[in-house]
Amino acid sequence: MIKYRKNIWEFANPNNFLRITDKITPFFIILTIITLSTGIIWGLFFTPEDYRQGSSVKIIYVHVPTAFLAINIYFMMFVTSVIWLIRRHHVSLIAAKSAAPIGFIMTLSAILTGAIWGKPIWGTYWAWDPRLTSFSILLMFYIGYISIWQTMKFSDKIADLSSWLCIIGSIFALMSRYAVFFWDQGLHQGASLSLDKKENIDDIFYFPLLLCMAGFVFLFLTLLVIRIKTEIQKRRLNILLSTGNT
Amino acid sequence: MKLNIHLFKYEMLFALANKSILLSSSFFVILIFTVGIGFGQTGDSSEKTVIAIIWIATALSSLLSIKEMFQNDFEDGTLDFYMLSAATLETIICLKAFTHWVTTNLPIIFLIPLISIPLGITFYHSILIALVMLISTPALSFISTLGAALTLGEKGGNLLLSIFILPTFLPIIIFGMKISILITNSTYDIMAHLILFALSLICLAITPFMTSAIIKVHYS
Amino acid sequence: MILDFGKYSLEILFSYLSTFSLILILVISTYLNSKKVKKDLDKFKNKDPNDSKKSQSI
Repeated sequence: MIKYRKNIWEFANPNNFLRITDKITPFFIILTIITLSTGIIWGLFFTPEDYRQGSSVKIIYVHVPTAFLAINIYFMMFVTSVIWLIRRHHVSLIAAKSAAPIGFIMTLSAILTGAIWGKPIWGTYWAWDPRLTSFSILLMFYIGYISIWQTMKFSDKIADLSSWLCIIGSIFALMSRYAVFFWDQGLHQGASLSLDKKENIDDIFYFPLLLCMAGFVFLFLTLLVIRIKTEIQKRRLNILLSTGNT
Repeated sequence: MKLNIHLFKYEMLFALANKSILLSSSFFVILIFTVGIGFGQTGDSSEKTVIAIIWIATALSSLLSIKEMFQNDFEDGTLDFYMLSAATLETIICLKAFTHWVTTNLPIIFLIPLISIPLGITFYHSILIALVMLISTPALSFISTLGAALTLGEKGGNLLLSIFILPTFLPIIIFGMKISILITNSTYDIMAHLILFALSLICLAITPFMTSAIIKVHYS
Repeated sequence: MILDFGKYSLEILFSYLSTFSLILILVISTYLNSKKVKKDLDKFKNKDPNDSKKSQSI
């Protein structure tokens, strides 16, 4: 294997990218399984209960990682869409397209686990407080992005349109986040719920949480590279089918 | 400058001759009465639901006339001329957004004080709410040019358009509704009005450039 | 019982199960997608045995 690598733009070449990810994918899968299972089992069975919320605090081991990923995946889609618009690397575009369903499922999960957690603690499945509203707006932008890819065949035009949609979505999601936060602080404020890690969570809860977050991030990365590889292969197959079989 | 004024007159005459003012205001009134009757059956007729009905009906009425913004020009080649002309594409987009505002949102702003009594808000409050809409609805028209540009070539892309444009209306709708509810509680917060105006102006400032980039994608 | 978490065990179980079943849907769809593309590629490669492009790695 050629060991030189000038900078990260080496990955823009699809062949390089596929070669490297073929080697890395088994490694990612093993890492995912190890960190995720350790984190979940440690968090679920070996941590004590919170004195205010009882054992339902253990839901944070899925709620926080999925919420964290939901937002960061959209940010990653924004960055890769901008890279596509400026530098025209197809791998970047395909990364954005492949990450969207993963982000959508993560957002859905975050909202579901939040609602299930909320019912016994605050008495309601849903309230239009700022964070829940921002998450539903994020869900809508994910749905919009996934649906624009279904409208036409893969081409540079639909790639540009979807990248612009991602940029528009990021701008307006940020604007709505500040719009809702302007008016009230909402259900998520307060010591036990504000999950800024260092302040409010003891070390007992903190380490399994880190492990779970790492596990979910690795899960995202493995799914992402498998999907990118599938998408690149599908595109090549389409090109070969349309040009080679006349 | 003369070219811009000429284009402005042309666009306005075209939009006004189209009789779409009557169509969009009728749609708004019918929507309000339908939702109002629906809410009336549940017995829930506080002022807050009325404010919600007004804002959502405004958003939906703007949605329906978005497709015609660029579609006809794209089909008969006028958009090509606009792109090559001395007036920049951003100017054309601003003009189209302005005519969309005049034909769709301006009638709504005048209608709100007129239908305030059946809805259940006092006339004074409805005038203040109409003023709030005056500063926020231009942004709605400008944002809808983004949606029009994204679904430019497709026939029947109206449903898809609503899927991505409604979430982008949300910051303005959230702010506008909060201010309207404060107005009905007789709290007049000038700071919130100024922030809504600033938000509206930001949308006005950034959307023409993004829309022109998106339109140029269709010609690549 | 090992799965007894006290008062909130139903909520905890339900939330974990729903999250992981959603993720399972994602994993299964990714896996099936890659299998389908691989099958199409193999079918394509086997269709023209004289094709000189076959030596390219896809």
